[in-house]
Amino acid sequence: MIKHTILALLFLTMLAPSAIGQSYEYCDTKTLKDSCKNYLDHPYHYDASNIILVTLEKKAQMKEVEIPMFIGESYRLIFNTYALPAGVEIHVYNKDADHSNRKELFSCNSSDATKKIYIYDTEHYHSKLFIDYLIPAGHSEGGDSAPLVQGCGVLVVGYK
Amino acid sequence: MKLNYIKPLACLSIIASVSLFSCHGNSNSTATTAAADTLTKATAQKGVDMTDQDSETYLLPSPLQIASIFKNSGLTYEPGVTAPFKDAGQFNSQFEQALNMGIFSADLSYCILNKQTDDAIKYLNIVKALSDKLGFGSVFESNSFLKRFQANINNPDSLASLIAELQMQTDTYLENNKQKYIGVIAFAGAWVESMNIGGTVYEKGKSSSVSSRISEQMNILEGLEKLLKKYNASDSHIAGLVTDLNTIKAAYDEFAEVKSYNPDGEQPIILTAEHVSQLGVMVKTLRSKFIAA
Repeated sequence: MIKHTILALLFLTMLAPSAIGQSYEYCDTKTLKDSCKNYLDHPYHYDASNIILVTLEKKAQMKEVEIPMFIGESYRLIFNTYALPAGVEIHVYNKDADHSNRKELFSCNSSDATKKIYIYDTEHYHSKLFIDYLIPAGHSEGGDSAPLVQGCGVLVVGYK
Repeated sequence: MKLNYIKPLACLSIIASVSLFSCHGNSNSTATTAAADTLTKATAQKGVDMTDQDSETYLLPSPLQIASIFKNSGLTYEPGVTAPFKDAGQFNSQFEQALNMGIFSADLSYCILNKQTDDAIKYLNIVKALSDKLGFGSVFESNSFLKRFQANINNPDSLASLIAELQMQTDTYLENNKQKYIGVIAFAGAWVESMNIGGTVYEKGKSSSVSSRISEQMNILEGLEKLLKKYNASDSHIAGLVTDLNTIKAAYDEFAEVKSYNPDGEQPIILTAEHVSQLGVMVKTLRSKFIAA
């Protein structure tokens, strides 16, 4: 617990000055991933990572990431929403978006200003997991001259 | 000016840290599910764009995890099953270097998990040399990786942690330098080598648990092909690699147990011994082609 507190303090201290000046355009993937790695304590090992690049558009968007799973393995999914624009929802499902009967296993979002790291530990075997990023529509005010709102979401996967 | 940040920043840090204590649990509540369903439907009505050009849509596992899965299923160490040691200078093109770096990475993982430390060091040196040639040897220099590897040589758990750390640093380097295609090519090499090890050792004991692991690995092949196709323009050899891998995938898809498999089930496909052997021959042929480069 104490270790995680210190790590969180260090992480936020490292990122905050840059983020204040650059808003959502800030996307230092190494720092963002390293901060997730801090939650891959023993017995978890790093397995893979994923960066989702986000640019708000006039219409809402969805991006889906597929993760293969293996029987008998326990996984930890660590989401870092620090560099995502506000309003992005992240949902973990057992099937892809084409399946109406899919089950949601976990969710979080980027709107909470005080909570940026989310952890999901898998409980049951699924041959695959699907991560859906629901990205809201951008503001229409300002027209084409409005600055782009960009950001990135980081996912680090560990296995036991 | 910067001083003005300090107090708010400290407050933010503390609030965030406190909230982290409560964020380890799973969020499976009915309310959350209902909210997500509503959102999904709402965005669908607005006309959601599915965009995937700028981000990966498929995650590949690490060679270490594949080796770990096989080991956990009872795959034992078999001398001589890994690739012969080679000088990195034998591989001329970036494609050959990446592909064989993957092969040797898989062998490195197999040796570490089976406590074959002498061979592990040899494979590590080849992987390091190929990383140098590919331009990211610097990841080995960070955090005194080689020294730490030597210092923990008799502790397989520590070595596995170090390899996982190296994998993460390599992934980050390739992402930041727009070279993710190199990682995907390397994974293709690692996948073929892992399947070759799994298939060869399977022939000794015909373990059904190893057989189911092999069918699980075939699921990865589909995602690997998608990623290779995405990076087709990055290296002229990728198209040929996709064709080679697709030959294996096409044969697998024709197996009766694969055709009749219920994808909604929670059990993997158990391949017949004959079909595992058939896949094994195809994988071995492809692997021979790779390491002959």
